[in-house]
Amino acid sequence: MACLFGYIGKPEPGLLDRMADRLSHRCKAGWERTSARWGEDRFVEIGHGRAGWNRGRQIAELNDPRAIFGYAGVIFNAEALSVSDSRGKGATAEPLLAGLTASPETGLTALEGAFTAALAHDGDLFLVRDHAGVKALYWIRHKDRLLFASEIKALFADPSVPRRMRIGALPEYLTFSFIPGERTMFEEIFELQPGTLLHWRNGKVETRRHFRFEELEPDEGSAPPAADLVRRVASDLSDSVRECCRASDRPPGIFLSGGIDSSAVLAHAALQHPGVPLKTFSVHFGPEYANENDFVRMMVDRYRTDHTWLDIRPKRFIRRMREIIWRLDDPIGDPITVPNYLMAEAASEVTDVILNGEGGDPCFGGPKNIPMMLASLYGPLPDEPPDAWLERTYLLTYRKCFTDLRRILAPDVWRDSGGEEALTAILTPFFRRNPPRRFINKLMAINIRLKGANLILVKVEKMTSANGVLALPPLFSKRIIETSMMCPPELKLMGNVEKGVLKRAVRDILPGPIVDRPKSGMMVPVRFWLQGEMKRYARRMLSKRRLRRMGFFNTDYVRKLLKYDRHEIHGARHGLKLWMLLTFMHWYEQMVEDR
Amino acid sequence: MQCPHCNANQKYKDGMTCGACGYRFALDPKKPPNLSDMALKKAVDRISGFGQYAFTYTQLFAQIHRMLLKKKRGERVGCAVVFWIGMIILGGFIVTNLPYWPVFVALAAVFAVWMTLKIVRRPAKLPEDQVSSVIAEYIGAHPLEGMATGKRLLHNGDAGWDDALFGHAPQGILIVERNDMAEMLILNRFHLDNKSLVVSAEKYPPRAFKAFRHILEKWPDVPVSVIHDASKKGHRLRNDLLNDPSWGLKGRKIKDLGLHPHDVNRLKRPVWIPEKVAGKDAIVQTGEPVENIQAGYRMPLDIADPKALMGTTSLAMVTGMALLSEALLEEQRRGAMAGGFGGGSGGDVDFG
Repeated sequence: MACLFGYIGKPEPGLLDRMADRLSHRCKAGWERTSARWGEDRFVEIGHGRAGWNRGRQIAELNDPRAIFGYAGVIFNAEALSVSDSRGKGATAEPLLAGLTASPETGLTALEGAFTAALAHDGDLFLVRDHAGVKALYWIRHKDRLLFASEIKALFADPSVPRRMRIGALPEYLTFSFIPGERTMFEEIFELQPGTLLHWRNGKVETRRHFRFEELEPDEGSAPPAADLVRRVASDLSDSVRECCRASDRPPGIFLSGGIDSSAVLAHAALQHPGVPLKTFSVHFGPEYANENDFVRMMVDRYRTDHTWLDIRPKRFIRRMREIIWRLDDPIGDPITVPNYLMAEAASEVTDVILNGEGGDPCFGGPKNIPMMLASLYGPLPDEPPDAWLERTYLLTYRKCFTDLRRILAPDVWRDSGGEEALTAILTPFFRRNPPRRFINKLMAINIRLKGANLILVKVEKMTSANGVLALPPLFSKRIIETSMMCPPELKLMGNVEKGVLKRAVRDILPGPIVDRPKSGMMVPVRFWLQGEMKRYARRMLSKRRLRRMGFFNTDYVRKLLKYDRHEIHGARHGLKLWMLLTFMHWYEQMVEDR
Repeated sequence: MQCPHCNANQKYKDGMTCGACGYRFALDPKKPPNLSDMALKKAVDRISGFGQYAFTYTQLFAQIHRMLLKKKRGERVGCAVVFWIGMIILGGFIVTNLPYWPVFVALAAVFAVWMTLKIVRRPAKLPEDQVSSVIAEYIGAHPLEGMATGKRLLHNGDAGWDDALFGHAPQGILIVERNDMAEMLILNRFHLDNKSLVVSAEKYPPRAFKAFRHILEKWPDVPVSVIHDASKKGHRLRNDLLNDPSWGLKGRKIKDLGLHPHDVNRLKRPVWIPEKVAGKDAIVQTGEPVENIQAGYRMPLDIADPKALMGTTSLAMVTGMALLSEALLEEQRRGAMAGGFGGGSGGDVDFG
């Protein structure tokens, strides 16, 4: 829940109300608005959808100087930046706005938390997104007007905004399972990137990335001692959890996966709430499938939490799949979206703020680091483009549909999308840019900025907001990102042990098996679902008639996927590929065809 | 003859160049073993998953061998049918002309069943050169891009690397017996999926061997595994590596994941290929593994297609269980049921 929306440009009566209407699922506690005018064509309206955990107003206006402001989410340092006598717990947005007007750009970029914010001042409009990208914000510049909203669907409240899908986005989606970078599935619609400020002035849009964490990479040999960094990670995590716990008057709930990240967050949250049995939630898929329940149980027992086990099976969500995908807004092909949604739904009955372990992988070592290190050791292979072989290898390591694209997409779609070159071009700036200079840090920067901000955080935000819950990732805070970049790569990937520095930092508060176990990831058994309970559903959704109507896919290849043909489908993973197609079909029908 | 390039049907008498697209047929279907270009292309498509996977010469060899045996079995079934028609005619003659005919019919039926089983079950023996000559003829006219030769990675990335990379280590090191096997695994990105360095016992690719030395020096605890054919040389491989000072493995643990001769019997249709030096010419499918090895045969690891081989090797590396061992096969079955292995990806872990 909670959302931000609005526009600048020619006034249009009813537009803000229509935007709020399209975001009504995020405005269950109502919504608030403000507006200001600086001449005929510079009318600004800002709306904020309220959530149960909102304490004061998150919309504000000042008359001298004339300025309006609104934000969604939480700003941890609001009190420090406020200029008013009304500082203190429950402070509203007015004192913060007063503090921001002296120097809007400086003030907005100094905000820390999980938020998106809009400030109109002196006829200019500023939009800003938090450092990691916990909250999402989309914008479009259309017909002398700039519209912005927490979800893309609200932008279509202006009926003249075109619902044109960007053809190049389709191979991006099938390769990454999300849309990387500032572009979205739609032509002309952009996602404001994390730690970025957008400035609208006299009809011109400029974006500036203000959070350049890569520049914190220390020079060779000048990194602080390892022991200091371990202590720093521990204290940063403790501080981040404390900040997140303050977002609500109630103790937070915790999403537990059984891995080191969410377990570390639970351990710190429990230390903040001694004697309080925290609400924890985890998913499994039935006893017949691999699960992490033993590890979850270790944490539940150690910290005596009030735990809810959710048994996720297709019958529980299949009828709501269309609605869940609609809530995703921009398609995300990761099957974990559904468990995320159902966990948030269960959590919403007992709490309004949830902490999770997102951020551990991007900041302290992801599963791509060793494969990419090995690729560098082998050098370019004979079938790889000599100038983009690292990029290509990186795309391969996603293990989605990259190697199927030529066959799964209709030939004209593949050609018009720009082909493989367009995909590798997304990554080239990350590999060429200095800093960071160290190879592993380059990979981590990609992970933080693309996978973190455009997949992990957005997915959780959409799925939890749809249920009125605020999800906060203490391991993806500004300070943790900064400390991560200060750690030399050898501390993050220690030999072949991922998240080395984090493991050292939390070893004394977690059971040993959780710290020492290798990364496993949540395995959603889509392979079995789509051959069993969801088989007929998948066949109906991916029928030839539907596929031909859209015209994007090679229907024969999709048929082979549905038949689980093991000879012609590259790299197996049929279930995941089918899930991605199902997600896309639901998304396209609702968001583009408006059915 | 069907053209593998344009699918047009070409009459044999019209020559060895496709009238529709100009494709030059490499194989004469009237010359033993009577294999067409189209059949060979199908073999390549099958093992490469329609161009998705690189494959070794042995993998193609084994696939063609399987195709020819299937063809031979088909021919034998044809013979059995003709034989039975003859027996029915004979039975008719007996019934109408001989006294005590039920006794004669029963005898004839027993004989017919015995003969049929003998015809159909008799193990087929294919000369090794019959298969290899087909491949040589085809490759001579149409080089196979997907075939790992064991030479393509000799000069890849001659440029140096960032030594800082050795601040990190792979999760494992896999030493394979032959260069083409190593190349096949690398071209199929086995090393990326399994976070492991792959290098051949012949120190190929050179860049990988150089990296191997660096890694072992800095990270001596990285597990080292070896896989090989069921052969005399394969059996010695682990010890050879330990004793060769250039590998720097002396005193270290190396896990020999096979193929061990005692595990080969679990294969439904093993393919024992004569060693070049042994003076044998036929591929055999029977016999005790140890005896076959002593007699100069080897069972190559890569008779399994690339996808199956990689799935099984991957599981063997993770679990430390030998290829084709009962424990590994059980783990495969369990993993396939629970989705616990291969990241729930539906990865194929069958072996041949």
